[in-house]
Amino acid sequence: MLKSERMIVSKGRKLFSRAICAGLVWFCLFTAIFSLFNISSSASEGDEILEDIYESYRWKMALEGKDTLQSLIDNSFCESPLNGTNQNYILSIIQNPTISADFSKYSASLEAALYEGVTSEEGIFPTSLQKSLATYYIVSGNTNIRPEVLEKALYKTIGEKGIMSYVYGLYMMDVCGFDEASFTREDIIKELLNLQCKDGGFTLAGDEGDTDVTAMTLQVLAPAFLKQSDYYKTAFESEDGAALYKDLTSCIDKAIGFLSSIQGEGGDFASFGTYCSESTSQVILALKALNIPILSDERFKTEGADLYKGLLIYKNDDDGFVHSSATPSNDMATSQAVLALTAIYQDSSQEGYDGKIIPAEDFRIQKKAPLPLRIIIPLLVSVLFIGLGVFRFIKRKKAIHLISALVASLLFAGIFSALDIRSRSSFENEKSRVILSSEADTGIDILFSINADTIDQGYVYPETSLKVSEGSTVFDVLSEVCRLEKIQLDYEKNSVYGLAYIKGINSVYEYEYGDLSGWMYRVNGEMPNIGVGYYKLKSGDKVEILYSKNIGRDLE
Amino acid sequence: MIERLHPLTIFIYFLTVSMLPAFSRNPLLHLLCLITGSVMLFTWTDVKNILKKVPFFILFFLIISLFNPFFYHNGDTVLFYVAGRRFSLEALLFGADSALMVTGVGLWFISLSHYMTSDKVLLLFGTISAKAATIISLVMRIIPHYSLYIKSYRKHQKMLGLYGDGSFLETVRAEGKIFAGFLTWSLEHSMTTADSMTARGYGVKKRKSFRICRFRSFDILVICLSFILAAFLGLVLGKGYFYTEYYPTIKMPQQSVLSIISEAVYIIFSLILTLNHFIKAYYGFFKDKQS
Repeated sequence: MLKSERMIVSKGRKLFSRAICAGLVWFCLFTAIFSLFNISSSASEGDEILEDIYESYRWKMALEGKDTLQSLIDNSFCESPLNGTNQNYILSIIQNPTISADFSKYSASLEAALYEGVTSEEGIFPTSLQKSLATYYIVSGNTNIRPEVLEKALYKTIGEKGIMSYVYGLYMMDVCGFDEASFTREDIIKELLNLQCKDGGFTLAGDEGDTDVTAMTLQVLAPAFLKQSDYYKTAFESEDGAALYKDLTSCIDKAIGFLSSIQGEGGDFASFGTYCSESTSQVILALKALNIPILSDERFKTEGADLYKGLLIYKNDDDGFVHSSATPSNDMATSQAVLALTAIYQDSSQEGYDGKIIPAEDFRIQKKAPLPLRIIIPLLVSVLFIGLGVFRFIKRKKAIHLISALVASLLFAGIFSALDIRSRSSFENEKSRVILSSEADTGIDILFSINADTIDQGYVYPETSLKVSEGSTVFDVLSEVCRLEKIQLDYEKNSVYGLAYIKGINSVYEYEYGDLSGWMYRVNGEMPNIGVGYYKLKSGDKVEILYSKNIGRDLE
Repeated sequence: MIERLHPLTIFIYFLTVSMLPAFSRNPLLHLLCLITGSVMLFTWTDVKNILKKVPFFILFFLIISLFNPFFYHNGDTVLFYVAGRRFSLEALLFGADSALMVTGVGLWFISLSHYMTSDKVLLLFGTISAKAATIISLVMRIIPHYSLYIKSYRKHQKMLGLYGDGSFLETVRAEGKIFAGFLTWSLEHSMTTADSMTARGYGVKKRKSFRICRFRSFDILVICLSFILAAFLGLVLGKGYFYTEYYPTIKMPQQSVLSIISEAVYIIFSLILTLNHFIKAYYGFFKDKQS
């Protein structure tokens, strides 16, 4: 073949290879961009609700001019601790499992404000006192309330100001567990039952039921109806009690029927003829208190709308909530909406929740959502590689440079994602699936300790009784304990076979104290003959992780 | 100067200077090793040639220093977690330290391979094992020879217009042709080599070999100095004056008089043979200016 002929052939080939390369590059770029968009838009229902809650907090923080949630609690809320709106925010923060905050300053100022309110001449509004006392109990868990406050709250508030003082009085007695007062709890329930209107609702004045009052009454009657405390369990056993419980059941059925009948088309509720967010919020809270599934119950669903959608009608553009449509955002409405959203969040499946807890100091107005390391680093390296490839392609006019750059960046991204790199905070704060809290319903109890006594270092982790999930192995427990307690741990693990070998704990490694030294484990005084990754724990097992200088002979 | 030394001297000197820091665990010594090693490079090559090697060494350094923390998870300062295990600052610094050491030793060995030409290797190891020395010297000659041959073959093909048009497939095909040609040539070449070796009396029992290198008094001085340095620094290292503890937290050894003295001795000894070269270069520079 002559050279001129080759040139003609090669021109066609070059065009072809260039077209393939260009196509590849554009394909990669588009997939990268679309995957980024997908990452940001794919969020589960739980995440959406959580985002609504966070946005409401940010609205309140912007309103008060505070940078962090903790400073909002410590400054704005502490200035007027008796304010019911502020207490709503506080209660929602406490109920939210994704935020951890420090309430010590708030509880101190609330106690001072209560004492001042009771002793001063102006006095304190009875319902405000009742609600604040309950809030104080929830925030601090402290039963040592000053006698002046206690006396006033128990003997001079209940029934003083109409139905609401009964409602809040019962709420206070349930929350704080007071048994002796000017009324017993059964008396208050009787009073409340007598106040029910003919249509099944409750109201402040008049014959027709009002949504807000009905929902709030339902909230405080719920603990008695569900017999949540021991007090009610014993109280409803007697003959009178059983009769009262029957009345209570029919009353609650009627009230729920009343609420269900007046739900608007958009899923929201009206109070005194005006559809508003507060009524909707209170109904949500009432359902939550009665353990009725908020979003899936048929009685509170309209065509194409549920309570969540009904509440979101009132969400403003500035992330606050309004009282009724076409008014500016309202503090009271937002605070009740946050409480309601928190209830919905607790009721939802929480599928998207990754166990991350945000400290209130880090909760800021500016949403800080940095891309995780595992996306940034491969992206940067790929851009570098592809940039180099394009540069060399332009200079040398050879497709091989581009292809090799693409392959290299893909390889790097693959290796990097296989490494499973995670930032320190996300790794250490993740909720454990193996070690459960001591109040968990499922799980088995074991005793666990890490001991390096043979080399005079004592207990690395003292003997502790842990509640672990069923079917977890010794290795699962050890790695979780080391993660949560921030103890150094080095191991080799084959994820396919579950084989695990412990190389070092707390910077003490195998072979450091002779050729036969290393970490061993003992369950109920015996050393099992299988690996830590295989040994499944039973209830009551006593697990010891021990360092031996002489393959276990020095441990007996 | 170094060229004129006996191969045994070169071998002992380079091994002493590069291996002493390699057996220590101290970033300062490793850094000194790297610096003196790069100074040694200047005695036989120019800046341009050295700059060509820099990207490779940087990559080498990065890879080695990242290798350690991904496989060893000790250390208190956690940067992030890799597959549930720590990636700690201490492990990273330990990796960087060992990378520094490997790079420094690598630089010294580049200089060693320049000064120990194949004839010197043959001379040095011929007395111990003649066959091994022959193979080593053959290999040391053959590799550059082969690469030269392949280069010239490629040029030939390009000149004849048979190398393809620059597209990937054509290039691969042409390279395959070159490799096939090279293989045939190298077989023929090895037969020629074997023939010439028998012609020169390889394998005859009673024979003497000609040695061009002579053992001078300066050689004895350098060897003695090498042994003294090895003994002195070995003692200091053995006493733990340079031992840096990395895990769980970094503890640098305190600078004492002895450690400063041994560092100074190391610097002086590792630069002493380059002195002659730099003095000559300095005077040559002035001579050029005057004339």
